[in-house]
Amino acid sequence: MHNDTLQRNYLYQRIVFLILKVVTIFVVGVLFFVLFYIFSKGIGTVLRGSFWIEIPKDGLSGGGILPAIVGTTLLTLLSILLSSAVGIPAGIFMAEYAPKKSILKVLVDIMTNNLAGIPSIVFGLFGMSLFVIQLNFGDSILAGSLTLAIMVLPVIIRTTEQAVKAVPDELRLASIGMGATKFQTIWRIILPVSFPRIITGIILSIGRVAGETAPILFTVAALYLPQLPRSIFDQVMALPYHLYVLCVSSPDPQKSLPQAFGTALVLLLMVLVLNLIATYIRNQYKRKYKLK
Amino acid sequence: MKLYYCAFELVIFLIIVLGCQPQSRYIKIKGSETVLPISLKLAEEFGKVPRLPGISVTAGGSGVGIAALLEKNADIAMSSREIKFEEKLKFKDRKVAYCEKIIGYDALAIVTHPSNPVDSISLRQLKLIFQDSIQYWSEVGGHKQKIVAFNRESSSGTYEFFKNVVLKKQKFGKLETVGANGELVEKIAANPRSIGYVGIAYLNPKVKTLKVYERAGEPAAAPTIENTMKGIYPLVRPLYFYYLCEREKELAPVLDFITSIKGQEMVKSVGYPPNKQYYPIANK
Amino acid sequence: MLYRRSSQLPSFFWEAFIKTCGWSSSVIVIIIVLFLFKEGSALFGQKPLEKGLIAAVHIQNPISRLSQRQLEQLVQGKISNWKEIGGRDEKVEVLSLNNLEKKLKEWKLVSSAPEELLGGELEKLSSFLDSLLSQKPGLLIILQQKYIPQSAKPIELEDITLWHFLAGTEWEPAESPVPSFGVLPLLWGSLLVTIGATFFALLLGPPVAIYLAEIAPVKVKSIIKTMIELLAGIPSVVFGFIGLVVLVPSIQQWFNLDSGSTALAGSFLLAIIALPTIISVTEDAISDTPRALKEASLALGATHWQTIYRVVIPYSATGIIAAVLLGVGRIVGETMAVLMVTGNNPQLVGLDFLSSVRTMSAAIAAEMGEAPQGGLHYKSLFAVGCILFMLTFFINFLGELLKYFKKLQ
Repeated sequence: MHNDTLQRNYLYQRIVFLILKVVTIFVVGVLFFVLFYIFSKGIGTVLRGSFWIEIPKDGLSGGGILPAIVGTTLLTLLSILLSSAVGIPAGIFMAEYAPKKSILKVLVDIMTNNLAGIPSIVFGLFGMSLFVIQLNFGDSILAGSLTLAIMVLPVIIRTTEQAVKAVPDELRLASIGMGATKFQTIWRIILPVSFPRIITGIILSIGRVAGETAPILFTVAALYLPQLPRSIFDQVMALPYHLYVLCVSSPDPQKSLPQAFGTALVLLLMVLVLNLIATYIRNQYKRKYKLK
Repeated sequence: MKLYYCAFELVIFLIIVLGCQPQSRYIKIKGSETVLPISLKLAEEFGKVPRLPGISVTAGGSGVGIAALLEKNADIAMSSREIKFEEKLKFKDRKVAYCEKIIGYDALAIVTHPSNPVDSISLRQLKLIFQDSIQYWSEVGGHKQKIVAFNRESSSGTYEFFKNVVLKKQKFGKLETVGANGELVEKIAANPRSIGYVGIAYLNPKVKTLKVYERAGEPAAAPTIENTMKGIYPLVRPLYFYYLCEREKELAPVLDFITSIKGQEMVKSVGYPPNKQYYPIANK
Repeated sequence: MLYRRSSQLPSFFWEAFIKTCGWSSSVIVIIIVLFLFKEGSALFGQKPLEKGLIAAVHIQNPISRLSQRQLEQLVQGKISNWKEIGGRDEKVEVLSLNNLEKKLKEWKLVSSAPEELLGGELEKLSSFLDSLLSQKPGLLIILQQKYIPQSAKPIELEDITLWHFLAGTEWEPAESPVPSFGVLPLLWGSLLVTIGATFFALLLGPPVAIYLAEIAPVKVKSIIKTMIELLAGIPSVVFGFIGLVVLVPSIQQWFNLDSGSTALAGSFLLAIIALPTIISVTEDAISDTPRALKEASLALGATHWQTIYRVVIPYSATGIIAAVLLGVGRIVGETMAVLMVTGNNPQLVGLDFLSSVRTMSAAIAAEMGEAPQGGLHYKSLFAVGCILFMLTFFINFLGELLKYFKKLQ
């Protein structure tokens, strides 16, 4: 009798595990579907050399996406630079300076989490009201990258904090034991050791910034501007917004569909490559310092 | 480590050098989705010639364009309707004068799915359809199935034109709203029971255009460039560029081009009937 | 270069810099809240008319105060006689700059442009209205102060209230001269899409997390985790694009709809977008279950699955709920994917997932480009932004709180 129950239980378990497996395969399948679909449909457009070096033509249904690629690259570089300049010190502060388990630390923690949870469109609203209107930057690369920088700031703070915290205490103690000051320890020991992990975080943030559309809608993106920017007060086209435009504002969406697939593929490739680089650096780092 | 920092310094240096130039002078065109194909082509043409000013194009709707012109957020407003009375007053309040150029015409096409047996439709029937009073295709000579009418956003000049001319300024029924012309054509092509209105430059072979007549007994005309220029298609409207008169000199390259024969040929190539005033060839 | 030079700089300068930066996120959040609420709250306490306009009626009209609702109904023609709201038996005629031209033609007072009658600068408008009012005492004039004639008295309008904003069922912010700002259709749109997305996410997220944490071999686990990370990296506009070209047409076919742009399409896409968050946080929570607990259960003869759902899941329930909440926080604020696939029709649809809805985030993205700066529409979108901010703040806060409790446990 007991044997019977046991067998039933194992049968039951097998069924449930099968279901779990199927669901997992489904989710992974969705990812593969998205990747495969865009690769197969977009590869033709992307392999066309002119796609990378020309301006969009014929009512967005021909030519290339050079202005959008340049625009997204500039926006991403500038915003990551701005946000690292503030975010890395902030992360160090959280890990090394903020007194542990104090109200202050909890407060800063809550605020950072809160900032990370704000919807991207709200960042867009804020960026427009502060940078575009209040500070009178106009629709410009500067306004757009500042908005993106603020959006990605909590990610950089968090990764830096975790990277710094992951540095083994032995290193810290050894440095202080040799008479170094706290700042010297941070500058000479902790930063170099945690640098690869910080870079990993930054690379992943680049992927996030490059793909965001909502914050740049009202701060920088131009629907069509067939020239390269010459100053940070210029508008630019951006890849994600260009994809959106190709889908909804194109004079003939059907005709610009190949362009849209190409743009989506370029975006995906960017994200994929950045992810791979980040994984590679992380693995190298793990090997070097034999960390978990 | 040093390498990282050198790269860092280099990037900062580049940004300072590149960034501290004044804003490039390009002409911002903003407004109607209907005029968008013309402006896109215009910007493309200007982009090819380095000595001409660059052009940045943004859509949004006719009303948005004119509001942006007033706020000086745009240099040229493209509009698929004439400037409204209250908009004129706003310009007067600010004491700035606007100028207009009719850069071409648009015939508003009534589109359905290619499988639809209906060939022509009267303005009155259209009005009733978009007010939800006619609900079945059978009432206008089609199959016995429900009509799905797609509407445009209220900020669009096309919406306003349709509301004024076809609906005689009365309210629309409860219809699904579509944000842009191209999107509307896609939706119509995907639905055998649908109907919608769209500028002729947005037409493609995947949808069927209906012939339109004003009253029963009158000949129905298809929305083509020829019919529009002959004046026998009832739903025709001018397409405008609005700009501030005081800036005419700066905008001269654009305005001169669009009113030249070459410019009007470009308008025609995009799919809109040119303005006869600037395109005398058509008169012959 | 920088490296050597800076290490010679006094370190207290750098320490001060680090400490200042440490406060950056807090300062930024405060600035964001300030700006958002400054612009958003400016909507309330404003008259429900465009700036500079006032409403006026004949001086002998007993009505001297109108609520926003009444004003809307008057303009929309739903109230056609003054006696319906306690006035005299007079037909309501609404005259504003928008319909001035049309009305004058309707009454056969002018044949072409109104300028010929009123003068190019409308200098004669005021005196013209005086004479018009004596013929049509039921006139409701909505014009700038300077055009209001002597024989009319301005009507006191109630301000736009928070209640009217939150409970209004009509979202027509671009309507002129009397726009309606009822955020309910947008709120409901967001809610509907969120409910649907949460349903799908619950269906897909926890099972994957359980599989990863408990069942999958180490190698498979690390591969799948990398893939989930990849999924998290795909920009939402790409999901929106895929949704537009694949999901929307399929939904239209499956359910035989007029248009596949529905709340359902948005729900499914958002669920996929939220999955990486939900999976990784759930998996962390499940992995936190003490080994001793699990082994005790197994030692008592329970099967692996019995252990999972009798021991592991109850133990990590708080963490799983926190994960779902964090996922929901992401769903509520997501913009581009929803904007592209939900059809954007601001309507109250009940629980009909096959109808098109406009969410709050999509409304901001779609309409902000059209709203003139500083106008009522602009402010109303900021007010929507405030709601969105508070909603996500609340949900995320709850999620973080649960995670915190989980840690205490």
